[in-house]
This record gives sequence, structure tokens and C-alpha cells, in this order.
Amino acid sequence: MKRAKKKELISLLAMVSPVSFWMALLIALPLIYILGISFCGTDEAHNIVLSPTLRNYARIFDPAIAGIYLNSLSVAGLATIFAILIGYPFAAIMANAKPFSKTLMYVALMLPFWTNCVIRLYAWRTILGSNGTLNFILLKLGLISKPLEIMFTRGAVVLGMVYTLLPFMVMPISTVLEKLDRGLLEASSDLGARPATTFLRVTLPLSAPGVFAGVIMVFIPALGFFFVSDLMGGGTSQLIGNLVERQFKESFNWPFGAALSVLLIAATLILVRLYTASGGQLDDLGAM
Amino acid sequence: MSRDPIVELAGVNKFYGENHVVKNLDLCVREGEFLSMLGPSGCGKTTTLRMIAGFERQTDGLITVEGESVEEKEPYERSVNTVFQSYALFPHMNVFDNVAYGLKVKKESKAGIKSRVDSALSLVRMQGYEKRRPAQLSGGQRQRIAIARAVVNNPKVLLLDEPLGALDMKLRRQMQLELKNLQKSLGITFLYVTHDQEEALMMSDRIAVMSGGVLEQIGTPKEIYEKPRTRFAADFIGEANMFEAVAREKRSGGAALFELESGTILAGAPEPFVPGEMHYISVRPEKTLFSSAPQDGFTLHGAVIEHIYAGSGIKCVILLPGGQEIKINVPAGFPAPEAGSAVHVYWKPGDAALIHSDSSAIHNTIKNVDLGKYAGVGHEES
Repeated sequence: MKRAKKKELISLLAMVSPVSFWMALLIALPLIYILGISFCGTDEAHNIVLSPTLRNYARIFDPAIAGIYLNSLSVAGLATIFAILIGYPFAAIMANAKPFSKTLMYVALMLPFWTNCVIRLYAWRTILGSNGTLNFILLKLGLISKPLEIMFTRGAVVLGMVYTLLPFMVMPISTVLEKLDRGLLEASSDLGARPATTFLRVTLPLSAPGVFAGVIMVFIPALGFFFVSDLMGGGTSQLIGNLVERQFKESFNWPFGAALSVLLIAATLILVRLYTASGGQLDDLGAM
Repeated sequence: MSRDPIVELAGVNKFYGENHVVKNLDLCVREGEFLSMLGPSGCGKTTTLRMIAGFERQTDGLITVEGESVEEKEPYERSVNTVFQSYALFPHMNVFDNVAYGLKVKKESKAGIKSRVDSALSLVRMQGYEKRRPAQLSGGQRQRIAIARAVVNNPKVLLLDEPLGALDMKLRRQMQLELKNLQKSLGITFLYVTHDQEEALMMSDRIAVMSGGVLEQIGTPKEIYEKPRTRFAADFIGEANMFEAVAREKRSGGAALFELESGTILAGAPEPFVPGEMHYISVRPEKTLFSSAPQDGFTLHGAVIEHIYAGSGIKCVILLPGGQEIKINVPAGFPAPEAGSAVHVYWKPGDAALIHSDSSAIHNTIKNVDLGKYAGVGHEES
């Protein structure tokens, strides 16, 4: 009995070990390293010194750092709200569309991924800049007398986030809506509910897991996508991602950068835990 | 027992694209009755129910509820409620909220909702389950909640779409009796869709037999079983021995002699009697008798090829010289012919149901045309 179990274990190990090896080498080890140095200090030459400390984590309460955190949270929050407002109707239309239009909408949603995200954000700059297409048209039409300052504002950063992350909101919602039993909507209507009531009492609560999945996949990246803030905000709007990037590339304070990263990972894990606790499926998150 | 009509369908047709699924249907549901629509899957019965509920629009024809056309009414404006085949209970609400849904939507008072939900739950004997989610209930319990959720709204007509289809046989039989008693005590009109002929016979005041989108026959279970008017009705409900017979001569006592390929038989005389006219004649296996000596008027003689013990009786099959097989059911305790023996087959002329050849010929033509033209694109009813 024991022998058989041992044999089973060995064959199981043999099967998963190549995957496990690369996972350990490429993902687990760097994460452990990051976690480790987040408790370390630095000397004057920016070398990491092994002296266990919580100072890196305490610095989050430094007003300057806390300000960046709050700004980043509000940008990510706004981006998430707009992504829901735009993404939900899009997902609803897509879920109920005929197969051909559904494919078309899917392609429209996915096609931008064929072009590098940074290049697409540069395109926004040509459209929205002071001498950009939009201002040119509005000036010619006489609707405005001087160019609108759209680029390099917080609004532009939010716009960039929504634009970049929208597909990650649409996909989980439309997946849930597609799986929604149409019989439930008929039952609601049969019991006297108008379409708006049916939406609020049946469709919306039952699609909440999809919205929640979308929130996780938009909100978390929106905290970290420093290049969006760089390109659209031009340094006016600092995100957690910018802060982390700076620790590694400019300030050479890796331990502090590591601590910031650990906090982001912790926030993600907490949200995912809440998601699964509320009945969400991890596979639906991984689908994207 | 002629009660007022509550739901009427006049000349209703339904097409799905090219597919004609309900054909010129006239149907009158009377107030307070239990009417079953019976037919094989794809016969248009569920589509008819869905048109009355408002989930489908008829292509043409008129549907009225309480004398008022429902043409322009959305499902949420109609005074009928549906019990769905899949129950369609809201998975994110508990039993109480499911049953209360219709009342909450209509903005009833909280106290009123509470007392009506309580009485609906006691009606289906599900008190104490208020806090459970549908996923925590068995199939039979979900069924009861689905019924409570519909009847709590006091609908004029309750539409039931194969509500017992997902239950096992034993639970099914039990729920059939409960549903029938519920209908009697509530006095609500039930329009019940099923493909189970036994269920329809047991529960209904009247049965509407449908086939291929056509209403074949409507009548009491007794009429449908004993006097099927079409070949389909005779075949689909219970078992039947079917004969193609030519009328020959009138006999005394309202009977007439008919000629078959393999002999002569007696059956009730058609009105008017036309010698030489072709008829279909259907006789139930339990009404079919056998003897060792020939009987007056009957010349059916064949060999017993099957003798099967079936608990409550014995089922025999007799092969006639022409190749036709005749089924005979003998109740337990009565002598049954042994396999291999030769017997004469007969019945009381009054037990044979006459099916006029014209109507069946027309129906068959319609069915054949449709099957030929639209084979493979049939609308699948679930």
C-alpha cells in the first residue's frame, strides 16, 4: 500500500517536475528574492545590506509617498469605474449579438493587441495634443478659441488606462452574460417585472462575478502601469508603478521598491481571495 | 359543464423562418379546467404555451385571455404565470425571495407579501425552507417552489411546461396527484404541456392531442382513449391495434361488417353508412379478445407468437396470415393463449373506434408534405 503510494508520487513528480522547475526558477525564486530584500536596508553606495528592518514598509506612511498612493488609487478607481460604464453595455451587446456580429466585436476588441501598447498611446498623443487632430478640428469649426489642454493631465492618464485595460473588463462580463440562463429572464418577465427591473434584480446580481473579475483585472494593473502615466501624464501624475520603477532605475533603493511591489502583490491576492470567496471562478480570471 | 372560455386561440400560426411549427390552431381553454396539451416533442405544444405566456409572438391568428386580445401585451403585462420545465428559480435568492419575487415587483406591502408567501409555501408543503437557496434543494423541492412562485400571484391561468419532466418516476406519480389536488383546491385554470400520455390521462379534465403543429383531437381523457378520432391519437395514447377496413354491410345493434386484407370484423356502423368506404379501425389490446372457436362476423385467425408475463397481466402477440401483428392484454388471473397455439381474434363491436379515412388521409398528407420539405430543419423542442 505504502509502496504503491510512493510509486504514484514519484511518477507524479516526474510528470510535473519540468513545469515546476521552470516555475520555481523564473517566478518563485525572483518573488522570494523580492520578498527577502524588502526587509533589508541599503548603505550609502546603494548596496543592499542584510539588516532586518521594517523601515521600507513604514515609509509608506511618509506624506509624499502616501500622496502618490492616494493619487494612484484614485486614478485606478476612476479608470475602473469608466471601464465598467463602457465595458458592461459593450459586453451585454456582445453577449446577445448574433454569431457574426459577436465575432466582429471580439476582433475589434482584440485587434489593438497586435500593436504595441506604447505605440498606441503615442497615437493618442497625436490626437489629443495641443497641436493634435482633435484640437485642430475643434479650432477649425470655431467651437473653441484656443487649444484644449487634454494631454498631460490626470484625465489623460485615466483615459489611457481605460483605453488600455477595457478588454479586460469586457471579456469576463460578456463570458458571464453569455452563460446566463435566459429562462431566468423569462421567469422574471413572467412574474411581472419590466425589463429594467429584471436587469436590476436578476441580470446585474448574476453578472456580479464577471464585473468583480473585470475590476480585479483593471484596478490592479492600473496601479502599476507606469508607462501610461509617463506617456499620457508626462510626469504630472505619479502612480505606484512610477514609484516602484524609480526605486529600481533611478534611486537604486531596491529594498524600498521591493516593499512597494510586495504590497501590490498582497493587494492583488486579497482581491482575488475576496473574488473566490464570493463564488468567482479562478479560471474566469485566467481566461484572459 | 360548459364553463366560460378564459383563453382562446383562433387560427394561430407560428413560423420559425420556413418552419411551420403551429398550424392554424383553434383552442378554447375553459375557466377552472385542467387542460393538457399532449404530443411528441416538436409537435408545437411548448411553442403554443410560450405564445400564450408572451415569450413568442404568433405569426398570425388571435390569442385572447378573458376575452381580451394579448397581441400588444408583453409577458410582464399578462395575467398568466408559467411553471418552467427547468424551474428557472433565481439562484441568487433564497426560497422566500424567489416566491415573493412577483409580489415585490408589484410593490405589495411587506406584511401582505409575508402572509401570501407563507400560505403559498404551506400549499406546496415547503414551510421551513424559506432561507434555503435553490441549489440546496432536491429536484422535487425545487419543483414545489417553482409552483409556489407562480400560484402566489393568483394567476387567471397557470401555464405548466412539462413541470415533472426532470423528476424520477416515483416522485412524478406523487407530484401528479398533488398537482391535480392543488388545481382542484385553488380553482385556477391549468394549461399543462406534457408528452407523457399516462400523465395526461390521469390529471386532465380535457386533453388536446397535438402532432406536427396540428390539433388532432380535443376531449375528455375517456373520449380520447376510447374514441380516438385520428390515427395519430389512437396510436400515441396507449397501445392500439389498427386496421384498414372497408365497410361491407350493416348488422343489427348499430354494428357493421368490415372487410380487411386478412378477414372480416365487426365494429360500430359509421354514420352515414356508405358500403365500400374505407375506414381506420382502432381496438385497444385490453379490449381485444381471443377464443378457440370462430365468433360471428369475425374471421381473424392467427398464431400466438409472444406470451409475455408483465406482472399485472399477460401480453400476447398474434400474427395474422397477412403479416399484421395483433396485441392482446389479458389481466392477471384470466386464461391467456399459450405461445404457438392458434386462436381466433374478436371484440365487442362497441369497443372498436372508427376513424374516418378522409380526416386521417388529409392529416397524413399535411404531415408528409411538411416532413419531406423541411426534413432536418425541424424546430427542436426541449
